[in-house]
Amino acid sequence: MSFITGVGLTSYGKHEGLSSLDLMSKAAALAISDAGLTRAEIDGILCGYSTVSPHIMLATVFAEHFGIGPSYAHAVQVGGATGLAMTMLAHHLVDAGVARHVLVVGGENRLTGQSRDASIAALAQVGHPDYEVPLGPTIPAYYGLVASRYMHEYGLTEQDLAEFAVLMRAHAATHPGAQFRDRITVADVMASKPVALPLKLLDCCPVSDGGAAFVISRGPTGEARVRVRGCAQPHTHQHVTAAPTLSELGAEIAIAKAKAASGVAISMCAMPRSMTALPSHWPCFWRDLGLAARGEAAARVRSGYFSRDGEMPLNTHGGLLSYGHCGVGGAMAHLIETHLQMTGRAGNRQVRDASIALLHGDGGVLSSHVSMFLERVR
Amino acid sequence: MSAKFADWTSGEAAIRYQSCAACGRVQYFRRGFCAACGATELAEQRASGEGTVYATSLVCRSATPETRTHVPYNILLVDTAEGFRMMAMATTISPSPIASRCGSSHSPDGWCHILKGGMSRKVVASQRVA
Repeated sequence: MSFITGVGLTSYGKHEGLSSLDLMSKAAALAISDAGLTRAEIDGILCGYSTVSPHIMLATVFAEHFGIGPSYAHAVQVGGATGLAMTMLAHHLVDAGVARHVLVVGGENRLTGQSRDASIAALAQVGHPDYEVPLGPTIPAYYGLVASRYMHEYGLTEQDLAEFAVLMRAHAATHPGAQFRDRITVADVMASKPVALPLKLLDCCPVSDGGAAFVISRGPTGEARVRVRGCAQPHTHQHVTAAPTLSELGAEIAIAKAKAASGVAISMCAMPRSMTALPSHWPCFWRDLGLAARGEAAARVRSGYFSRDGEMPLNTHGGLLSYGHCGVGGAMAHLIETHLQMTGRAGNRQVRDASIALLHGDGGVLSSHVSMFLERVR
Repeated sequence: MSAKFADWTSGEAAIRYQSCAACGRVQYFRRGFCAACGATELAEQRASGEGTVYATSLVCRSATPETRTHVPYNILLVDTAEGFRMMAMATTISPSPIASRCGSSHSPDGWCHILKGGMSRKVVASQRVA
């Protein structure tokens, strides 16, 4: 048994002058306070990575900086899946009695701490050094490949993909912390600059500064009663060249395993979340996660199915596309928004019923997957 | 590790792969063992250069100075005739059949993959561009 007892999230966008450790510290202080705990009660720390400030021992660098001497600490690195992978690990750590309160933290000054080109170049290194990187693929290009194949197999159009960017912006418009809050249309997305076709600028995540943290505890520490009901992860490959297929994704395996671990059916989900790195693979995920039949995801977006007041509200904070993407913290923001919804603290974004939520994170190029069910208990 | 053999990654005009003497699987990323069964008896093979485009993305914003001069260029995944998938880069994709010795269009590695066209068309040859 494990509970998410506190969450902390900074706004995403520009945080001029703040380091990765500063952003991690801000979020961590918010999360510990939200859990009603003191720093001294935190006995485990899991942190992600920072591309701006890489370090072989980031967790203990952070622990010292923040002023904690934990009895368990290390960093976790599985790309965009890191946030949920840390959550899964923290869940097992507190369940096994290794720690009572594990602080999970990620944060990075990815926007102001380095040039955009440096950021793009650093991330492109996820490619194979001999067989991919010399050819000049970029991160959007990896997802452009995925999108092209998916569109080819299932008849999606660029306009269909654009629907997801429009939805995320509509959600972000009501969140004061979101990096981009001006509403956009499908026409805006279609007219935005080509990046790695079929993906255009508004199909791609921004680069952001930001920090996110939460506390995973063995038992509740206050009013919030949100527990991890079950989680699972498969890792199907690393490099996109070695992907068994780009249209049948590891997400499907992840969700099946998480369902088995949770005893939950998708139909029970009042508020699923999809945590993704780029929207191009959302429709793929939604089919794999059982949320929409192949090719139907865009129609469901248009009909409001994934809107705040729809049957399956999705990423009510605006997701990576509009809330922002600061690396590890980018995906963690999804869990934090989920927690706020499940504890009735989402204000003007509050959905009707958020008793069970599905989260999914992926890292690499759809290579590392974590699916998780959260449940509100009384 | 098997003896080093030259291919496009080291500047030679060849696409190479390995096939496993024990289980028959083929692999593109070179290793000293078969990633499917672990056997160390691997045969080094030269690919024909033919295949089918599996996926494609037109890169309009590149990440490195070396690739910037080629923008826009295509990044492709190609399913080769020999049964492995590889990434390729094409500075031109001609809509006409075999048109295209890529001429002076250079890919960063000195390679240019001559294509008939987009999705599901064939890669008919790989040429080293001098």
